[in-house]
Amino acid sequence: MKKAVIILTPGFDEASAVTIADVLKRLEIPVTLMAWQDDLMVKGSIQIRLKADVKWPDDMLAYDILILPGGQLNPMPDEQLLQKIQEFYQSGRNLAAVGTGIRLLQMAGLDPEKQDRMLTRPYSAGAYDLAFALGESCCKNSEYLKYRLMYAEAGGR
Amino acid sequence: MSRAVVFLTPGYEEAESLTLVSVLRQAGIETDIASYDAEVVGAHEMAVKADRILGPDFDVLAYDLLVLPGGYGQADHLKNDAGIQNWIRQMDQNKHLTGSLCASPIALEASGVLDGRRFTAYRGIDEKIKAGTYQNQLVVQDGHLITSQGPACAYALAFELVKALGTDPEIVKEQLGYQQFFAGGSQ
Repeated sequence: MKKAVIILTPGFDEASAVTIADVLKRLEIPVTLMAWQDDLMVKGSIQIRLKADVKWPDDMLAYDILILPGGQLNPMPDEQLLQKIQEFYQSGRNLAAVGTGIRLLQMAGLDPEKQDRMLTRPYSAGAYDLAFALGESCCKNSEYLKYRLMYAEAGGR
Repeated sequence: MSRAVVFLTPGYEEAESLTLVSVLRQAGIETDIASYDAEVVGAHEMAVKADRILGPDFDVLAYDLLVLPGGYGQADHLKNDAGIQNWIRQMDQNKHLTGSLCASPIALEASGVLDGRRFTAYRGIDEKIKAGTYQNQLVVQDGHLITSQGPACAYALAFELVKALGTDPEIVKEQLGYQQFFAGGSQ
């Protein structure tokens, strides 16, 4: 069973992070919210305080998919995160990013357009679409879930 | 500046709730998450911290908009809590805006505000609600009551609420890349 970790840096995009976590949990893919700070309660880009499950520096290699939910990059996440992202990719694992999360991949020396094992969506509203694609990559069919979320009724492409 | 309050009780749907708060705040609407507990846990075990703690002194009429996200657990709490039922009625009687989606219209019915009103709700919830007239539409507005359907409909509801508060949601839609991912979703 593949396991996913969502990295919550201060200023993370709350809607993206929680939407991806919600969809993966509904698809029965274990998800861990990891606070990239000393406090479990992480304040996001629009001041929502979401409680993470674990704090860094947890064992990143205990997970199969690392997800960067985007949000503010001010202050810039530390070098250690970029290094962990790079190590994660080099160990043959999968990465996913929304919005500014893509910028973090690039800063870690990765190119989502040219390299494989990376799924990205440029905007926050693409969080559902990204989560469904992540589900598919774990062999989870998301058609029934889309029906339950009323994704088509909402206009979801 | 308009003010909104979002009620969260145990079992709320995290994605739709945070999407609603996110869109409202990005549109410049001062938005409080209000709960009976300092930390409130949703349907998928994710906990957020409340900005306001609900209690006997809570003044719902200080807000222009009351938002009731869904989730089965949350809908039951909203329906069975006398304080919340009273705040829903106060908003209605004073013609302040209320937004509700998914399972939470159950709580609107219990409070009596659906009587004689057009509304929508999550698939199947419409069969449980006897009051008012259900319409199978993404968003239904009847006066100062705006309702929507499933979890993925939170964006559509949020944009309508922003509009109803007199703010143009177009800039936020663009920032979120809404049109790229929700083609038929804009009303």
